[in-house]
Amino acid sequence: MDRNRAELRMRVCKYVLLTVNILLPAAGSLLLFTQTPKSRERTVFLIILLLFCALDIGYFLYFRKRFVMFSEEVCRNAERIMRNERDGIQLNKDTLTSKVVMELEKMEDILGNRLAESEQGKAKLQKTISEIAHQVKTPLSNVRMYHDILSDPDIAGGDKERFMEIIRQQLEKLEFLIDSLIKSSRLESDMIKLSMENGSVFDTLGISVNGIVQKADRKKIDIAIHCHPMIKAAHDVKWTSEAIENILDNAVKYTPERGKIRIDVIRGEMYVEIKIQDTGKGIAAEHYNDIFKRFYREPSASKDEGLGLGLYIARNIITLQGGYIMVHSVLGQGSCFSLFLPD
Amino acid sequence: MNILQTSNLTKVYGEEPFAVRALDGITLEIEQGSFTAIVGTSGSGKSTLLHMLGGLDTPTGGSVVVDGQELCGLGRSELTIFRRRKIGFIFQNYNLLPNLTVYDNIVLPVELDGRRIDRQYFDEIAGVLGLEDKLKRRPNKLSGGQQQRVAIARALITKPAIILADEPTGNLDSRTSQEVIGLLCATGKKFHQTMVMITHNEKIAQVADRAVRIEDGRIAESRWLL
Repeated sequence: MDRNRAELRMRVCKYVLLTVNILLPAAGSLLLFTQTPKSRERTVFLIILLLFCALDIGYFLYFRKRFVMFSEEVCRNAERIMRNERDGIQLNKDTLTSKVVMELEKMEDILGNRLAESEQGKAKLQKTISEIAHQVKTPLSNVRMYHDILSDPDIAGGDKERFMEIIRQQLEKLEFLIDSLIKSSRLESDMIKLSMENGSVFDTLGISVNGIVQKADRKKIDIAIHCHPMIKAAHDVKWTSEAIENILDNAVKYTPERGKIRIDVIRGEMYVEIKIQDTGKGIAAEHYNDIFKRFYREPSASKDEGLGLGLYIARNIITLQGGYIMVHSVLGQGSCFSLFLPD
Repeated sequence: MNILQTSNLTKVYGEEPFAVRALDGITLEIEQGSFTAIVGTSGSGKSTLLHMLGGLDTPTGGSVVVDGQELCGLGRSELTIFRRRKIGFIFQNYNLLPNLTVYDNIVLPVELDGRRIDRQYFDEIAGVLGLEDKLKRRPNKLSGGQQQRVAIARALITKPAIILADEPTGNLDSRTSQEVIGLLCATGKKFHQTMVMITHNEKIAQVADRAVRIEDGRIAESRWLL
């Protein structure tokens, strides 16, 4: 209601000004020159003309003053916002000044948040680095220890072989660790640029399955894929196949021999869902979110190899592409991971 | 930084001895840019809480501070303008106007405020939510999921301080629910919006950064999921 009235007032003002400024003086001067030259009439017209001029100047000064006041108010508020003070005088009013000031405050908030975010990013990176250092330390000190033992000349031949084997295993672990850390830190620091293309999901799935098919064969796990080859999604083939492989890798790892893995690709309204179901040991509902955390290992899984990076990386890859992962599981019966990729 | 803060919030309906304590001393802080899911069974007081946060209802006691402003001190018209500029709502039944096109529905809060539409931002939102080819349609010609996407766009367009979603997937089937929630989460992150969503569905809450469980008007559990 208020707004309508204000608008009406504005419009009336505009018309009045138009009439006063142009039409009346024009009409006045026209009359002045077309009338028969009677000096009295001419003076009257002249006076009217002058009157309008005065009115005109009055209007001009009035609106100029209003405008200057508005600008000053906005400037004063801008200075206040720069000093990081909030006074709340101009909040929640239906005036132009209030609108501008609230927009300015919003801008300040957004910029402040951006700054805070970049600082958070820096802190996160620092944390990643220290975590990397920590993770690398264990196998490294193991290698050193066994190396020290090996340098003992009195060591028995059989033991030597065994220790060499341990060192080799530790080195492999180190290599695996560093590989995954490089991957995750790349994701973390936005060093990779995703090259999105509208490609076939089936082909990407093929790449991922090839990566784990040997492991699955060894455990005689049956993999069934239900995917229409024409289904497409906007995704980065290399990284997405990596994400899917990480999830499949887990499925193989935690599914007992002769188990089953079933992959369905379903097209939805906005997303393409890649559903990976296994018949493994399952995840307790309270750990649904923990499993995506970096270096999280489920207590019961601590003896299996792994670092707790696979799902973390997978989630990051999918989130960076505008998708998300959901998990649903029944303990002892199996887990179901759903990857959603934007269509 | 906390964008929203409540302290000892209470709401009592009716009078003693028949008083019903819908909210019983809720102290909650919500961080800028986070996605919070408020989970609870029906009757736990979660809807009441959301109404308080959005200034749709006045609390019996305690305070709600949104973006540095105490809501209890605001008058009716101030509260209306506050809601228009600072809060985006997403409702279970979408609350779209059937006689306006999708485009008009989305830009309505900006137009109500007598402002210009940031066309670039609009296009971005419509693109992310997949609404570009539906802008001229009427809402009742769209599916439930699509209507809710229009409502999400309408909540985003004013760049509010906080978006409140009241059972946004209550009327959708489970498949569409998952999509809408995923979209809500993704757009929240993309446009750096703070979101508070209430739901009774635990499974849906897993995409949030934080889950707050409400039981009998009290916070029973609050944990970060990331």
